[in-house]
Amino acid sequence: MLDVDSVAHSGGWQRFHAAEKACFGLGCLGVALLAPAPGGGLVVAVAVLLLITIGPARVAPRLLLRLGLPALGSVAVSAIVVLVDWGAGPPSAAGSRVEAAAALTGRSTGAVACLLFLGTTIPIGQWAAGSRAVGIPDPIVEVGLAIHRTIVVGAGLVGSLDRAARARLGYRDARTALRTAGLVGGGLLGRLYDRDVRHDRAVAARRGTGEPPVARIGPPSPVRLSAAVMGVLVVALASWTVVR
Amino acid sequence: MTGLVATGLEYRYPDGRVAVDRVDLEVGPGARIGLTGRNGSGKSTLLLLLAGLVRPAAGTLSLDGAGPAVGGAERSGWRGRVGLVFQDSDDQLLAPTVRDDVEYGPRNLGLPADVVAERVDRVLALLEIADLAPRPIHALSLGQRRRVAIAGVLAMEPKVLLLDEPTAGLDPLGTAALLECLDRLHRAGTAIVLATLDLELALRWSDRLIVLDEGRVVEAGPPDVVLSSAHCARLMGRGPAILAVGRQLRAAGVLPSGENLPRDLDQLLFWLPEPPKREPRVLTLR
Repeated sequence: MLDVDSVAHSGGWQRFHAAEKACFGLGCLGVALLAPAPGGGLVVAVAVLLLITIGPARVAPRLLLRLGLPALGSVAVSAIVVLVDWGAGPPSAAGSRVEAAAALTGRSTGAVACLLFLGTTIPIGQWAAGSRAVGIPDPIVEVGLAIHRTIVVGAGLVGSLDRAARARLGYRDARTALRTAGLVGGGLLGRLYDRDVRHDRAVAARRGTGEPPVARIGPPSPVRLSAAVMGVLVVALASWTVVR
Repeated sequence: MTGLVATGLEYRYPDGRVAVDRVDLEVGPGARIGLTGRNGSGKSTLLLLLAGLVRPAAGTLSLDGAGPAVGGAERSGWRGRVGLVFQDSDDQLLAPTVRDDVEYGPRNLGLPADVVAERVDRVLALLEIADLAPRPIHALSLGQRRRVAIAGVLAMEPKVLLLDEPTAGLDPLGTAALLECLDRLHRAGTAIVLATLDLELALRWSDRLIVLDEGRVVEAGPPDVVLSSAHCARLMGRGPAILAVGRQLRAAGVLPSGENLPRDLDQLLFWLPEPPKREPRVLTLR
């Protein structure tokens, strides 16, 4: 199981309805993108990250950093791309684009925080059930679930292969690391295919149709849903107040 | 202190659950230590900690008095001296052929090609799989893959060998062949820690048995004593039948009280009274 799934399944947000969490998370995402940049997005990021770490989920900050680091790295690279003048001649810093880079960073950081909130509070089963409940067609939900399953299996396999390679000093220096990366990558494709074939056989053996079993969920509590909407409004108000 | 010494080892999962809780362990040179406990009791995580593959939340590790440094070559050196055979051989076998895979570790140690070749040949011969050397990994049976996985670790010449449920899924002959390999390693002076759910194997093979429950060591000592304890019975069930029969023999006065309880079938048969011989019946056909 991925760390993000593990946290979503075991955290204190389990007792809230998926619709309440989605309403809050997606609402904050909207605020992060629409609030005046860069301050608005950063305020949303701080508010949401505080909620994840000291709220019912109690996600350890180090784990949260690990989960968000790839996305934040992508944000940093994007900001650098905006900041640098890639025109004719050697690349040089473009002072006039600092504001645009800051806006990009602020909004993206807020958005990453909101996606982390959604990921660490809503387990995949609730996502699927919720998506069906709001009328998203079954094939789309199933494709999403299949992609998720492939990522989970792939991540598990990469983790196991990587650990086994480290046990035999596979990353001792650059040369061995390159060789190990090739072996792990090559091994992963074959193993993923093998797992998929075995999974298909197991599903067929149980007369499965290929449709994954998904829990059904009832309607959310109107009071809590209203509280989620209020939460979004509070975050939005804070964002505009701090920035203005 | 010589050998592998762990003091107060602790590990928590990312969600905060305790996987290993203040474990103290000593693995002297040439020791044969069994590790058992229910599923999820922390056996595999403890082996990963001992191999230096996950970082403990607390506690210390040392091998012959020197501990692993955090990260870098020192840590890699640790992994060369403490080898781990994973539960699932498929996770461990990376290279396309048996020889390539067994070479993988020694090559990572930076050894010259002739030394690598000599080590690989020796280990393949030790595990009696020299004939498999050119074969592709995917064409091997489970028992063969298990032995290749062990060979890949042994080729690094570790001082301590950690095995995570090495007999799981093996047929009786495969298990016997594997135990024979382990006996050869033991005679050659390698210290071995073997995690297993097979209590008969733990009784027969180990000199000292440790029982884990919820990450804590709850019993440790000679395997016949540990497996006879009420605590172990509550956790793991009735235990090996050989021990139960041995206790009956002792109660009946057949096994002297000074003798250890039998630990394998041969020892048990030694103490069992021979059945009365019957005269063969002659049938006359008319």
